[in-house]
Amino acid sequence: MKKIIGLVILYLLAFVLIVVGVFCGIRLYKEIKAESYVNGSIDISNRFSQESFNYSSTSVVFYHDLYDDTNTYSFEKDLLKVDDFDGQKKTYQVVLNDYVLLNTEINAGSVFATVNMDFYNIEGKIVNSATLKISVKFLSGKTQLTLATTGNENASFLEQYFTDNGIRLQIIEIL
Amino acid sequence: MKVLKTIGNCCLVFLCVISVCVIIAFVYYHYFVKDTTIGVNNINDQLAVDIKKDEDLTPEERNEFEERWFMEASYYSNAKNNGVQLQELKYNYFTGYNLTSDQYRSTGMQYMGDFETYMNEVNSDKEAQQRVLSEFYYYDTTNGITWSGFKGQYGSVATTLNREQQFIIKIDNRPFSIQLTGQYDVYGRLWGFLWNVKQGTVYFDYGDVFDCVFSAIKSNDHGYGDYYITLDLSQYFTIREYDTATKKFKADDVTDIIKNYAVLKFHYDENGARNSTQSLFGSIACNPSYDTSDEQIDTTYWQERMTYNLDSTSKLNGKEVFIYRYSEVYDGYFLSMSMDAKKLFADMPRAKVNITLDLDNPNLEHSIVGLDYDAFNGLEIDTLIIRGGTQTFYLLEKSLNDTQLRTLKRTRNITLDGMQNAINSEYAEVIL
Repeated sequence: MKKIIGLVILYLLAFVLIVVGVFCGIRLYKEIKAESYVNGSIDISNRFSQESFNYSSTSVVFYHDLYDDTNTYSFEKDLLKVDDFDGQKKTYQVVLNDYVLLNTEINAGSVFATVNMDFYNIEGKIVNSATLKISVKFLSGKTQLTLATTGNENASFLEQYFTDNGIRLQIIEIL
Repeated sequence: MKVLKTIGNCCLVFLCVISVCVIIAFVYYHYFVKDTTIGVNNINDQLAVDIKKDEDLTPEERNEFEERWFMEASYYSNAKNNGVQLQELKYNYFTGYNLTSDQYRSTGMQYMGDFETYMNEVNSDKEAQQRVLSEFYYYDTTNGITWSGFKGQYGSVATTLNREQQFIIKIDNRPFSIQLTGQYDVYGRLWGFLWNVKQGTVYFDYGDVFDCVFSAIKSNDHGYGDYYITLDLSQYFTIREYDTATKKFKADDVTDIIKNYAVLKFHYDENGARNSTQSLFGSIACNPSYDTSDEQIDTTYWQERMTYNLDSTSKLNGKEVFIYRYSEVYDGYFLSMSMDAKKLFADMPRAKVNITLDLDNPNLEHSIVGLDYDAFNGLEIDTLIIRGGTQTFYLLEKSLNDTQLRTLKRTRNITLDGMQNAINSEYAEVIL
């Protein structure tokens, strides 16, 4: 009886040994075959300057400074510096959402423009006339964009317009 | 029978010897051979494989398809104290392994304030796997619409951001899955003064990832703006490659060191969030009309018109908008619009043009006596204002034809001559 139990234990041990051997073999094979790898690549580059001014966004939100008594609502944004803007030697065209802006004031390192926009209701009557002042200052390390209007109502209508249409502001050099 | 038994025993002994050899070889190789393998997974853009290359896109398509990254964050820090502090993190992924645009889906989390993570007490591994943090608002984006369907971790119709969630992402135009699996053991001295023993396991949750991401954003040396950084997600996420033969996502359990890098695109703003349009999800606190303004204004409108107020000083690309022709007969100049300006306004059908002619303007180089033939023909004019002293203002043929002029305003002492042949539409005349 003891001999039979001893044999069973022996066979079980042999079985366990073989199973462990198989697993170790598979693992050994995997480890020997393993190679270093690289999946994919990352190709991003942060831009710190741009050749010409171009700003686009899906919306614009105006802020009103509580301590400001001029009722001015403004949107300010620091953008990438523009490498070669020179309002003294070059001619530029300012385009807002495919509208070419006239009467722009172009200085050595800045551009100012005024946009008048009328909003009509479904009867074709004007419900709001808003004036938007655009200021772009080309500084040595960045470009400052400011959009400003007066009054909450004008700001709200302009925000609605930019939410519906987005904003695409370009300053294009005329060659 | 005895022979068979002997052969069997011999085979068994042989297999055992082989097994022992293999085990020894494995132990030797595994513990004493110091070869190291490193695997790197770079998670780049998540644009679908059926999306056209950037140069083939129209400008409108480019706006829609230009950028899609696995992680996208936005932080309105409210440093100017003009809104609310808002942190948002969005994961863009696919719902299938074909990686086509119809399989786009995004899930994101939003926190109003500056989130700081904390250790979550859990009773079991399963609880840790299923836990969804209740401090956040969650949003899903499908088919271009963002919505919040999260009502708690059970019974939600939105994607729940917990450790059981596996997203399908694109690496090298191949499908991979990514899952939050990171955890670490906490050790302490037994009874406070004996040897170190394991006291528990901490499972990372999406709040930990969120906190780390915003720490990275806040510490960036360029400050406010829109930038890209590459995060090392190795401690948090496990990436599995899709095996097209077996159709399974396989874990890599052989490579010694696995690094997972992912691009994070972020917007860091010194303003506070004021309006839901500033959110990555178009909603703040699950409110798509969120606005901090006290006074809500009805901004419903049918159409907008860009108004151009032109006068003798108006310029287009540095050149005057109006051109002048001298007439010896009338001893003065007739005014008309330049072809460039006419072409410009023809290309902008929503432009509303108002023209003001101040005949007595001392800065005017030319003495204007009227409008030239076809001066504004075809240009849509809303209001024409003519100011000046006592004089006759001549309108030559078709000078205002097809202008759809609505209002003509003139000072009382100006007499218009030739109006009947100048315009072919009705208008209102106002004496200033």
